[in-house]
Amino acid sequence: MISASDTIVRDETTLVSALDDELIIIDIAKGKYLAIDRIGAAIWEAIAQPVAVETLVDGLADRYAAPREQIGSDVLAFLDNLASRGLVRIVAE
Amino acid sequence: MILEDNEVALAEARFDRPPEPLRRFGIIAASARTGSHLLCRLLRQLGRGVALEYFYPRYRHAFEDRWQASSPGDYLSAIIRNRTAGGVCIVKCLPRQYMALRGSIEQVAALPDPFIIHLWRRDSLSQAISLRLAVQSGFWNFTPGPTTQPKGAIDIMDLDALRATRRQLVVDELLWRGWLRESGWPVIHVCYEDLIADRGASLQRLIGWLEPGATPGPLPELPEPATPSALHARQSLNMAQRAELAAAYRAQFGHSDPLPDP
Repeated sequence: MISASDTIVRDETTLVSALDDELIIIDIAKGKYLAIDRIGAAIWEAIAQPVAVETLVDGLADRYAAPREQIGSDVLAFLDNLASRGLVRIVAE
Repeated sequence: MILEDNEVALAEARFDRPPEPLRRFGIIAASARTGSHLLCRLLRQLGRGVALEYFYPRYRHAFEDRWQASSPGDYLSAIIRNRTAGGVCIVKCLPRQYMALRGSIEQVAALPDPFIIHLWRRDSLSQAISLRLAVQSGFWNFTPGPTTQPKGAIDIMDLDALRATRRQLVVDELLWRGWLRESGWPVIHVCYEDLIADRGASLQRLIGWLEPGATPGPLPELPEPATPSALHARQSLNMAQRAELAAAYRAQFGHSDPLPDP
C-alpha cells in the first residue's frame, strides 16, 4: 500500500496512449488495459519523475480547487490500483 | 472483381504445398483492418510463404483435422510442413491469437532466421469505422459472399459504440508494440496508409528488408483496385458517408490520433 509519506515514480517502460479525453495504459503481461480520465492522466503525467505523494496531492488540490482530504483519499486509491499492476513503484518512504 | 484466393479459400487443401526446407519463419503482427489480407496475398504472389491467419480458431480446427496435428507444437510444425513457399513460412496473427501462437513457438525446437512484419494503421478512427462496417456486412474483402454472419442490427452511426471499437483497436496496437519489444525478433513496421497509397514501394521496402541484396522480381498484378472503394460498395457506407461519420465523431469526442510511428 502506498502512503502519503512515500515518494513514487511511474514505470517508464509502460505503454500508454492518449485517446480522446482518456489515457490508455497497457498491462502487457496480462494483455489488459486501464482507461483513465483527465485527472488520472494528470497524475500519470506528474509521476513521470519521482514525486512525494503529499506534494502530488497538494498540487492536485490546488489545480482542481477540491478538498485536500478528498483528493488525498482518491489519489491513494488510484496509486494503489496502479501499483497492484506494477505501473508505479515507491522510490523512497 | 472477386478474389479466388481469399482467406477462406486459402484454408482449403488445394493450397497445401509439398514439404520444402524452411529458410525463414515469420509472423505478420496485425490488428483488424490494417491491410493484412492484401499484404498476405502480395507476398504469396511473390512466392514468399502462404501467409494466413492459422491461429483463427475456425481455420485452426480445420487444419488440425486435415493435418492430424494434436498438440500446439505439432500444429506449428504442420503449418511449416504444408505451407512453406520459397523457403518462407509466414503466420498472420491478431492480438487475441498471439498467446496461442507463442505457445506453439515455444514447443518447436528452433525456427530459422525469424522475423516479424508489424502492420499498423495511423488513422484509428477510419480503422474502427471499417471494422464495424465489415462486422455489420460480413464482407471483409472481395469474396463472393459474406465470410462472417452479417450483423444487420449493428447501428453504424452509434458514436459510443464506435468509440469502444476504436479504443479496442488502439489497445490491440499497444499490445503489439509491447509484445514486439519483448520478442527479441527483428521487426519491420508497415503502415496501412502507405501500403494502400503505394503497394509497390511498400513491397520493395519489405522484400529488401527480408532478403538484403535480392531483387523482389516483378510485382504481382492483383485484380483488386488500388483503393478500397469496390469493397465499400458491398457495405452500408460509401467513402463520403464514412467521412461524415468521422466528422460527427470528432464533433462529439474530439480527435487525437493517438499513436506515433513505432
